[in-house]
Amino acid sequence: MEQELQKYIDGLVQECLRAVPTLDRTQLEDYFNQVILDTLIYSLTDEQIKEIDNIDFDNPEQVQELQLMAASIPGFIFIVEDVLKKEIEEIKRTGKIPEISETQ
Amino acid sequence: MEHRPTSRAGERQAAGVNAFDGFRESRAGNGLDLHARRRRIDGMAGGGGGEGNDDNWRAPTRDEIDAIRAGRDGPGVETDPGTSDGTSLFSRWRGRIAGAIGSLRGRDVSIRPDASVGGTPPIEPPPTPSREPVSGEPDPHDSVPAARPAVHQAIPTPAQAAPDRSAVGGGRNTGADTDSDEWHVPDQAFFDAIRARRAGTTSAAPSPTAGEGLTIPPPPIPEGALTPETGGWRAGLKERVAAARVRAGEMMAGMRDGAGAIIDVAKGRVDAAKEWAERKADTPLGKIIIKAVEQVAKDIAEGRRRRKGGIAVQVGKFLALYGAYKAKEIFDEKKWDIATGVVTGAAVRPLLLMVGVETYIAGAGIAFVTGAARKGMAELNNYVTPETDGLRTGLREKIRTMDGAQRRELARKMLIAGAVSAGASFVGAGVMHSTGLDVMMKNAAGSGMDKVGGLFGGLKESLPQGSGGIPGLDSVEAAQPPNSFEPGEGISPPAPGSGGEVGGSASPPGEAVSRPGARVDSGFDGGNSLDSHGVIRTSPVTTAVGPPYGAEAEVGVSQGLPMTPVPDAAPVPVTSPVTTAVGPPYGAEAEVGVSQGLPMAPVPEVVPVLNPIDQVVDKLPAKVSLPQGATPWAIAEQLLKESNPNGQFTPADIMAVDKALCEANGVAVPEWGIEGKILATRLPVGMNFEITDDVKDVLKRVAKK
Repeated sequence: MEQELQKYIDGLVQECLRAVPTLDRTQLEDYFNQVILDTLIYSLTDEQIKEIDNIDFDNPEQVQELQLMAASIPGFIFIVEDVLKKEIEEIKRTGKIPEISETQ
Repeated sequence: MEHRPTSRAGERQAAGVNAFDGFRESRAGNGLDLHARRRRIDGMAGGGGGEGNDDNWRAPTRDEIDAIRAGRDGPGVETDPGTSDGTSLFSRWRGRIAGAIGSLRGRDVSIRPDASVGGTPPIEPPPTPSREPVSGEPDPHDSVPAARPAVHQAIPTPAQAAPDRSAVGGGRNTGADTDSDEWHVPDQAFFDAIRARRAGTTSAAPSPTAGEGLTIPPPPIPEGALTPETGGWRAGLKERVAAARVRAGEMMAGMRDGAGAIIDVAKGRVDAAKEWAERKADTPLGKIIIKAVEQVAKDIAEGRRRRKGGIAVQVGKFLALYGAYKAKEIFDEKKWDIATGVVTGAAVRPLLLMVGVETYIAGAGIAFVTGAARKGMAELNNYVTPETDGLRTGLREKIRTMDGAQRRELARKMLIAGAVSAGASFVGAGVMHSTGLDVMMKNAAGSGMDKVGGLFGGLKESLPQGSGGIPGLDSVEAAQPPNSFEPGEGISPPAPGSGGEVGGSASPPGEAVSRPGARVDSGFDGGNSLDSHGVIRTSPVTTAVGPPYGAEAEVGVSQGLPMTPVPDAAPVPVTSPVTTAVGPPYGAEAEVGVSQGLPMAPVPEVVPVLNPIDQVVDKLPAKVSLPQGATPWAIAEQLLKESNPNGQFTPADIMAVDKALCEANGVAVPEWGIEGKILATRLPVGMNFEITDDVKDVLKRVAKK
């Protein structure tokens, strides 16, 4: 599945690069990863967010717990897909990758 | 999970400081709070935009608004070419044009650089070539905001652009879309740039002669769009995610409706199914249902439909009730821990496969998830409140501090979790396959129905068979071309619970469950079977023609029968598809279920299970050389030991492998009746024995003893 997910992300990157060849592939991919994780964070309930407030991403058990939370989001995969689609539209429209530093 | 107040978010929280506020303040402090800036601009421009929760923001006064509209506003009204949200088209474009002209002139620009107030040099307005401005003419933008494209059209060529103060008309410039009292004619470069943009050649560089910071106006921004220029695109992610949640809920609810229609078809309620399908005739599933209705009607007319019940039916009832019950419980208690329940249901699935009732778990799964989908997904947004904005921001910051590889790994893990969850919900339980929804998915992917055809479909398309990917999605590809529904094929048995409700409360009134016939039905044996390796074979093709429908009685879920609380089974952690141990029971010899004799679809490993022994066997070398003095028997024995070091193997076990080995490699063993090119007693040292798939299959079976 890892490979398939990579193919999917690669497809997104390719789509953007076709529209805006000057974009950086690595930055694009990293941006999509960021969006996926941001989408997760904005999809978790308040209760879940409080639970993982101090999560240590280096701790496999805690990451596993986060995975379980991701699995508990109804239709998370569809939500991610929806959001990524919007991101691609925006990238193609503006010709640049939205600033990751703009968190709010 | 351990809570340590070590993170920045935690510290802020401990200090009573909202992380979001802190972040916002820091941005405001360094002038980067584009959000707040945008809101201020929105307000000042009279656009009414902005979230209204910014401390730095204030509502514009009536006078300010009037001043803006009349072109006489006070000083300091800055132009932000990126203003978008809530800002009228007029004000946005006015700002851009003024900004561009100002840049051209190499100075700061106010929307209306009124020399009398702001002290800025006058700008000559270009005359309008097509219409003569009339003093006192109403500003078209006050009433016709859609007149934005005319902004550029009204800009004359340099040849036309003779300064004409008389055209200004009392300080208003109705033709050039800026409210400057005085204008200077922009140079050629500016107009070239404008024309290039209008022609779609946005890459056209401004003339060097323009210099001095010539700014090309960006392309039109859709009303309400959040862009990096406004600092809003990333800021709007939360809202976009919320909207995506609702859309996902709608989609899942739609799938439930479709499942209900499939049940109708399978149960012969063709009228109800047809009604649904005709409403959805423009969708792949709608087309499928229409064809299915025709097929079923034909089957009924020819008396090819029959019924069958038994223990599978009873178990199916139980599971359907269970799924619906869990859906209701989730909905009522707002637990939202759907995956846990789905996986719990899936955990008992291997046992039930033996009686061919995965369809019922499918029903449970889909009722489970979609029962609360439409309303629930929207309501879920209520559980993502601003209260935790700070914490979310802190987490995002933490993620941003990771290196790219770590972030990538984390993102993949979350996607896998989501995919497994979706698989368990919609597919893993077999519903996609058993009810024909997999065909819908396949068609969706092929037809571009974006609701399900993207990531999900993309994954499906590329998953190797039984790869442990999204379960069940790779099952019927070879059997059915996209968008096909050939006579003789059809929709397999009902997925009870798909359209059902417990107590009628798992979804809002008026949804699919109110449709006649959309009930939890019992009575299908599944048409599934286990192959000789114990791998489930589910064939929508085989069950299409005259599937054995079940007991006469229908589970009265939708009729308000009392629910049977089902004790929770131990949830199976969804950590990865590999560790989700809910797969088919290997080693089962007997085929169960009913095959109608039609070709079976390729084997779907509905929920991936990678038995350790299987993994070892799969990793065995492709070839093994015959050591000096050794025999195939010795190789077989060694292979078994490597496959399962803890196994206690009898000579019969070794012989089974030995036979397979000899057969696969053309080694003749007359006493066993195996023919070959070379006698087993005359094998050359170093002969390569190929460990074929057949050999591996035998190894897997025997080694698990």
